[in-house]
Amino acid sequence: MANYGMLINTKKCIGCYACRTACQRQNNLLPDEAFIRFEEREVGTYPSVRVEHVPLQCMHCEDAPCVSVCPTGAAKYGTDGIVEVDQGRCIGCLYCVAACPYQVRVRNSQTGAVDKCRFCTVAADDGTKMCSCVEACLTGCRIFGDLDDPNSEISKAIIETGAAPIAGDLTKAKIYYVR
Amino acid sequence: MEDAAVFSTLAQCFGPVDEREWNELTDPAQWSDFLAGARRLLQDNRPLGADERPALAMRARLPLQEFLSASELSALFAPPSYQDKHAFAARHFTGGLPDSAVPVESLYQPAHPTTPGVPAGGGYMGDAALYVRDVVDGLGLAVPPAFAACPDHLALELDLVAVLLRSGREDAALAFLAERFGWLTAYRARLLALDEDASFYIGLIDLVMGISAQQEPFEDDVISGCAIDSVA
Amino acid sequence: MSENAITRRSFLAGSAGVAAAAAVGFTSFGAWQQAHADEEAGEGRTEAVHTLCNACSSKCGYTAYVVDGKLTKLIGDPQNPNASGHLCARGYGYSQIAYSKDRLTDPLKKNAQGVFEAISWDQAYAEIAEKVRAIIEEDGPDALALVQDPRPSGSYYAKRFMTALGSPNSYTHGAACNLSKVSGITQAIGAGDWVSDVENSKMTMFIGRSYCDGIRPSQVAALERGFENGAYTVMVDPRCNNSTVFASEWVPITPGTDLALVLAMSNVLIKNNLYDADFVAANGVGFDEWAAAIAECTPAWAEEITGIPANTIERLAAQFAEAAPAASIEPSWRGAYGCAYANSGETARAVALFNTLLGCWNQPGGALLTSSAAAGKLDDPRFAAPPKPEGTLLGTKEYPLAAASMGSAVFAGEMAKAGVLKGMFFYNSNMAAGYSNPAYLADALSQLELMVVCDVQMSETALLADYVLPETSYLERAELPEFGGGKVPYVAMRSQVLDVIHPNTKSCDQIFTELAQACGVGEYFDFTQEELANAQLKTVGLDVDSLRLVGTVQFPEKAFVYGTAPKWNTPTKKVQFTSEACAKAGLSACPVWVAPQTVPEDGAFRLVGGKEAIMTHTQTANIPELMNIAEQYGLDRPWISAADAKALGIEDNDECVVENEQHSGTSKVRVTERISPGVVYIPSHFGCTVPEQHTAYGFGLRIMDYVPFHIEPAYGSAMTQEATVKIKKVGA
Repeated sequence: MANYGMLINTKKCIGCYACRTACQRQNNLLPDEAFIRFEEREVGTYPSVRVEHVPLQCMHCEDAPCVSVCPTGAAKYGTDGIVEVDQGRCIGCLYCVAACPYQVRVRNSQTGAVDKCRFCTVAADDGTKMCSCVEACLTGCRIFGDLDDPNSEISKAIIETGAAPIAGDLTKAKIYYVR
Repeated sequence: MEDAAVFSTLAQCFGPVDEREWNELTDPAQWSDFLAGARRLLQDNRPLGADERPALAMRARLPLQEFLSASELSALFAPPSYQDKHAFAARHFTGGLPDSAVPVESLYQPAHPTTPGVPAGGGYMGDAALYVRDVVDGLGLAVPPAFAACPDHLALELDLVAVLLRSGREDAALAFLAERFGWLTAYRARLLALDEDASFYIGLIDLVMGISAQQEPFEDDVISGCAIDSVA
Repeated sequence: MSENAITRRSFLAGSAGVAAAAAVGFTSFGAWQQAHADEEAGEGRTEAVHTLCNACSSKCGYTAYVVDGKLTKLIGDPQNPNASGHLCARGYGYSQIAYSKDRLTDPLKKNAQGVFEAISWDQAYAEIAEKVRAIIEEDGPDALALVQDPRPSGSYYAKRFMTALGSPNSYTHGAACNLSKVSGITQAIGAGDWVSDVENSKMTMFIGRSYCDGIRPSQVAALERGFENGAYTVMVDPRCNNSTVFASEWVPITPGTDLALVLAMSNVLIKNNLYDADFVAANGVGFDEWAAAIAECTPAWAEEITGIPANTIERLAAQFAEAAPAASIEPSWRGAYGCAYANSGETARAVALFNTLLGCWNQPGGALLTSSAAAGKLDDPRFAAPPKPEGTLLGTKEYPLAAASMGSAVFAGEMAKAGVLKGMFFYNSNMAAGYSNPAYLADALSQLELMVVCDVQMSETALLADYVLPETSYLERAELPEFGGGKVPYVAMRSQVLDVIHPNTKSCDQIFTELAQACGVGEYFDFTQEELANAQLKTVGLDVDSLRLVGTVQFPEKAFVYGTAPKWNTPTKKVQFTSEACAKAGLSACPVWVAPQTVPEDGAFRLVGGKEAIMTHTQTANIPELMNIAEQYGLDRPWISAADAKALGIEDNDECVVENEQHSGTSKVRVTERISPGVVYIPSHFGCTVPEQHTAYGFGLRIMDYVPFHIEPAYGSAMTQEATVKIKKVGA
């Protein structure tokens, strides 16, 4: 039993959207159905300014608001610490969309059901050895792995970089950010 | 005219036929036979492919005016010449043009992408196309090369209804009719938006939609019935 | 009459009209969908095909996974030097062009009413050939021209077709891309480009180029490694571009004044004796003349022009001297001086000379003059080149410095307007929207007697054509091998990933071969694409089948070696601080300050363009996956500095009027700290005016609408940023 999580180093993110379109392609999503959302922040004022890109996606929270508000049990905790959506049970009420503090749950415009990042590596069949976004990232921003394994690359990197969930302890999120 | 022949005629109106074939199809006697057959399908209270019940046959026949607008009606009574049909297809049944109105289901009904790699959002080869291709395969037939990009072309979908009827699968024809022609509402709107008069084709679309509506009471049973068949 | 032969006719079942199978299987759509949803993913027949991307001109190699004939995943090939294991956002998104509902499906002809209609290939070829013959008879082959954005097969076939017809007028899109850069650099060092060894450098300066916005994955990786290795990387750009994530310093500059910066830094090196005098003495010609000519180009002088503080310029020059020879200015591409200003070619020349002062050529961390792999001589007489046309490329006289391999396509436009050119072919080129002022170009190209466009979807250019020939998408065709350069030369190849989707589309090799046959010059095309590919590959010990297996083959035995003495392929066989050709073309023999020709009047802003990471010119805007990003994040919005916005009472996302004497349009704007005051940035991808492009149509402003039609003296570029705009809040 693993407890999967991800680290995203925003210091290396160039805001190129490759993770988003790779995810859409490899997971066969609709053009307007994106599991990764981006925030851009300008730090400082001209000419002493720098830019920070922050990719956001399902944080697979241990304390997930989407799961608590879902009236049908479609949003649920799966195995290995992955938050799942049972598409068949989703009635499209969008409570979870409203409840998610990270705004990373999206409605499939064809089915009306809600979907989001699945940590696709776990279900990967062919082609990718790693989550599509991790594989696709041009600058190696992302590390995926088992948070419970102290020897995993991600566990070591979190200690090394002092990475932390974007909203602190709010939801016990499992995506750690270096900022 | 038998139901199958009505659908064959409709199919040929939207597909590529040569001049001789078109002239034969629109020969006045032949064409009025077609219109009569279509009218019966719009009026009769019987499942597709079933024999007319004598009692019904005796009932007063409603003229086509009851089902179609005046302009569509006059267009249907005077089918275009081969040259006009060819020219219309060259301007509208061709992809990528300002006035393209290619009669292909995938372009009008973005299907839910259940199959890996199937593009969503209204591109060629959506679920509808793959489905029709599988149905054609299941019949031991093949999609003709000219339709390779679009097995879900209206001409093939109509043709398929006719083939199913002639092959003794009235239930399948009815199921196919029920499931496959919902996109014609959107397609009809596209034809209406053309700069050029498309009354003839809109009239044909209205025939199909009217026939489809008339068949609704018989649909439920056949759809669930067909679900147990396997494509293979 | 109930059933007869006529009504029995079936597209599917022939004249019988009935299914042949005894037991007719049928599944309802609902059941079919359910069956597919239940299917374990990956159960279908999966094929993996190595091929090349076509979302930009980098042609990255990747593996396409095809399940039951449908494209699923795309994974960048590690062995491909451009991809280095990755694709960019465009690579994934653009693959969807194959199934686009806006694909051209049949050859088109514009009829007497000006409306396109489908015709047969035979008719298209016959009529085009007839008109080509008439033009040649009347005005000679020099009245024909070709414009293309080169791709592996296109650059061979389309150009060969023109040569076979006897026309010397083959142009690339260079005049609106990197013509000035290549031509200017060539005047200095006899080569059109170099590779800045950023990952091993101590210092690299980028001028108007952002690896992280106009993306080639291997370059992003090199920049990142350089930054992590402690290279001092400097981004000179009016915008704080996305590469500044890996930059030590952003140096904002007044657009069009990069030349002043380079001259002033050169001045500092020379004045303070910080340059590599031995290298210059051994390799250069005309150095003293240049040194004298720029003696007044001090940092203080440059501060006035560039807006960069003099002490910053002084410091940067000193840092360069300290870092040399593991330092260089990166050659740039389109952005700052590829085709932008009246001084673009001269800026390129100065940059090459600055690197010469550093003595950094072929040094670790410096500027590397790498070579490219190439096919050897082909013995088979079928591949012999057609006779060289008698005439010379139109524009050679007027723009003598323009690289002959590109030519000035915008001058070709002017010649169409003047009636000198009568027939033009366009391949993979949207000249009318992307090269210069669209209104001017539309008028110019409308004068042609024959205009033929080959493309996969309607474009602004195709709309003007008499004939539009539908090509297969890049996923549905194999192409000739792509021989490439860099630290390790390589050959890569586009293989066919998908079966041809629209049966009446053809690959470009087929189209130009058949056009040639129709025009009576088929003798030069008596071979298949695969035969030619095999012949080319044989010269490097490969063949199509073996290259197909791996996608890319590198030639390590031909790898670049640090410290190799450069060979200067200039007329003097030296680095030319002075160039006779430039003097003959009416420029200074050595590069001196040339001001951009456009000076903003009061209240006007200098206009700059640039690439977004998700788009390539106007080519990708019709892809729903990519356009959806632009819509969601407002990537079409013009940028205006926070300071200017405040003065104008504009807030972020306000609807504004952007206008100049040529054009007026409205758009939401982005108010940002990331741009120099006095500058407005409009991305180069939007404002599509082709209704057939259902996704792109009408979204955003088109930067070229604001750019006047004009041509850079001597170099022939479109001067795409010699323009100003005013901006105000709607209703203000």
